[in-house]
Amino acid sequence: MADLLQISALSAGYADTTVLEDVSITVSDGRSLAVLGRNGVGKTTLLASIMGRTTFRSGQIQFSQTRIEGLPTYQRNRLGIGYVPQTREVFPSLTVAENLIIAERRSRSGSSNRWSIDRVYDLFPRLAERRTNGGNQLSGGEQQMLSIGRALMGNPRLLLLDEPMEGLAPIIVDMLVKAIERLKTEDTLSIILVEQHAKLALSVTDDAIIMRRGRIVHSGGSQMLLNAPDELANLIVAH
Amino acid sequence: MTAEARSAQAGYAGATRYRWYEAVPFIVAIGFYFAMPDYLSLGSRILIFVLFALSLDLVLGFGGIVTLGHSAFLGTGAYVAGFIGAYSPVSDPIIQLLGAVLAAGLVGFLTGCIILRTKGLTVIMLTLAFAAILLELANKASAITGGTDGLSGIQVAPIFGRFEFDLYGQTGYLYCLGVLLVAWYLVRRLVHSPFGTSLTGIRDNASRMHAIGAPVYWRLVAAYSISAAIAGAAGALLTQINQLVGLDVLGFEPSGEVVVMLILGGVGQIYGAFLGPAVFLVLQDALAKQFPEFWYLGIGIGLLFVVWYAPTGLIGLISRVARRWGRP
Repeated sequence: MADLLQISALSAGYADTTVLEDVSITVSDGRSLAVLGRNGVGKTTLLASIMGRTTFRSGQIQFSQTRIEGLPTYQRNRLGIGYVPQTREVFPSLTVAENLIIAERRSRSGSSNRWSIDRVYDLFPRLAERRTNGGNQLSGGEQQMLSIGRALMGNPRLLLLDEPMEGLAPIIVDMLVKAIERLKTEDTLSIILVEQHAKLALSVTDDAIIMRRGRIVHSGGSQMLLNAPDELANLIVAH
Repeated sequence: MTAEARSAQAGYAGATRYRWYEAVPFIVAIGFYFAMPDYLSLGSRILIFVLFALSLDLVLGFGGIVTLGHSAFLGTGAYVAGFIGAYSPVSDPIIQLLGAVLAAGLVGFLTGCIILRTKGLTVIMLTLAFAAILLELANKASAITGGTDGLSGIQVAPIFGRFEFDLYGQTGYLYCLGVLLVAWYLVRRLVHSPFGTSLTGIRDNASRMHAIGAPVYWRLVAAYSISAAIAGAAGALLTQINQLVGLDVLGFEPSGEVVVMLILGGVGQIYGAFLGPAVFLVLQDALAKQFPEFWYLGIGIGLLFVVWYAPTGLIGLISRVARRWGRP
């Protein structure tokens, strides 16, 4: 199985502050990775760095055999990285349908054009009902679905999800978990999932890393951590 | 595509359908031509400023670029049309117009490449600075621009070799209306295209547009250049109607006034750019006759009321009233 994303010894941060230090991860085609850790350990910064939204210091980021650490954000997206930010960031002035169409990106080969607006509606029927509503007329859960759907419209090979379940009602969280599982089975999509709720994240991913103060302190299988809740708690809570 | 999926795109795909009320500005403009033959020079001025405001709406309303230097392009268009008419044997108004459009578009592209690398206040300062630089250039190069005396001796042949610019401004008025119609069609097409939607996305959240694969900078440069070209057309019309170019086309006044006009009419809605200049210039004309010294006070109070009670401009107010009546 080919390595889709390979980060080696990455250091990055914002302006003069370094947040990530010596971070190395590998995500293979079709695998999913949970990024766990307490607030402020650099989980969001890791995703933002993959997307090119932070100040790069040193290290290497390789995506499907291409070095991307020097590329602008939009080119990284065009290579196949979809990003769902924590703040959702739907476009308030555009309708649900427009929010989706605006992100549509067809590859020239046509082979990887897996996503269409109808398929997003199939994944999130709620969005189909709200298609003519404005982006500013949606509930938090609907915004989250729209934000994920919008990222999928670009036909990504890797999807970065930043705390997608945060602040949502349990019933919506269930829906999103089912959607993520569908993405994993029906699609060859790789996923990096940042989540506060460790058990939830481990239950939908293959691998996991735990971060503390900008470094990775543990890396292994999700199932193993799920079976060892005490060790998981120890790893997450820093001493 | 199924009918279902088509209606799902009711956003920009559906909005391209023309609605009857979109013809209202043009019907009013033609009505004005027949009803107010003595006011056609004011009418032409209104049409030119509508065109100017329309160009501003593209960058301010849809791209979210705040500029206080749009007169740079109005002035470039005005002077280039003037140069062609005064110094070259070409007196055909359409060619002069196209020359002005190209030149203003080019200036827009070059300055846009610099300005749009920055954000927020810096953008505003740079737009002001470029307009000021052009004004000073035109002032110093008085040998070709005429300096403070203005550029005169501009030859403008009849349109299509047939319709001569007459003393009453009838030809000029219809000419302006024709150019406005073309520009309106182009801007409307552009705004409802995927390009226009991506501009709205950039206005809403530029970093998000980056993350879904849009080269934000080049989209903004493109919008800025197109807007500059349209402003250049407005400048060329001013030159051809007046057959004189004064330094004031490059001054701060047109830049500031067109922003006021657009806010008055409504930003980012196309038809705000029609209503704003019309209300502004008619008010200005009426108030200046009544209170020659205080007419700006009336404009100021009017603007206060609009910003306070109709934040989406007069056009937003109208559509709100229309909705309450149960009509579109």
